[in-house]
Amino acid sequence: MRRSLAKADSNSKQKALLTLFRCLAKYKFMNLIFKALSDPTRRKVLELLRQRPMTAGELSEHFTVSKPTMSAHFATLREAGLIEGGKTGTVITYRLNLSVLEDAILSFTQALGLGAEKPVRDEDVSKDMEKGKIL
Amino acid sequence: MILKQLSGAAVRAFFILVIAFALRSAEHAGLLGEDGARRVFQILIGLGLAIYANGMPKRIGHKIPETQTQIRLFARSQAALRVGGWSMTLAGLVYAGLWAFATLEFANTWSMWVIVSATVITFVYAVWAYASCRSANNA
Repeated sequence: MRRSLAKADSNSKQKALLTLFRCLAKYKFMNLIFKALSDPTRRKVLELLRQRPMTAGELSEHFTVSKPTMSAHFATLREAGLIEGGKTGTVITYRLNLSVLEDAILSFTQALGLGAEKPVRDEDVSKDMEKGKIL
Repeated sequence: MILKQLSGAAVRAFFILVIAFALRSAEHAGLLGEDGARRVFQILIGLGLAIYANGMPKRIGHKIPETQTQIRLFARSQAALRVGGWSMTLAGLVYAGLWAFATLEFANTWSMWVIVSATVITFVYAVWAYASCRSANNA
């Protein structure tokens, strides 16, 4: 009897722990957003897309980094759900997809200049490509 | 899609009724002070508005514009939704804040004005965006 009660108690504890982990896992999405907004280049991309939807080429013209690096930035922003892209022939057009809260976080990080001292460099992207993180 | 939206709205309406009933019962049972139920319910309405308006800029659809005219139109509607989202979110938060901290009389009058102002800002900006699109297309 005691054993079965102890087993039931341990099961309920495990279930509570699992529920807690599930709740915390939901915050992973917010992590993606903060990761996307931590880089000044990506924030600049969002600033440009605030004006109007732009093609990948148009956006890349505003930066000195290589095309694979820009593709990595776009991939990160898409993964976080901050931009949406559509392909017409060979041209990819991106548009903004920010909620009010995400917009506020963007303005806040922009004002604080978070990550300005360490933008993503071409070398970092090359390493990520070697590891297979970027296609 | 419409059925999904309708069922979602029905579920939300049901929850609002349940919350209202629970608050009224709590007030009758003496768990909430005088006007406590009213204040809590108004705060929930304000927060609900803020949450709903938070996603407003994302409700532009998934179609990506292709031509220059489409891009111009898209940019205007995106800006209109952004202005609407911001004004209604802030209005919802101010509404909730007023009902939480202001006197009942003050909150009763000014919370309505906050919502009306946000609605006017949203509407005027949307009309301006539409008119500027039309004039740009005619030019």
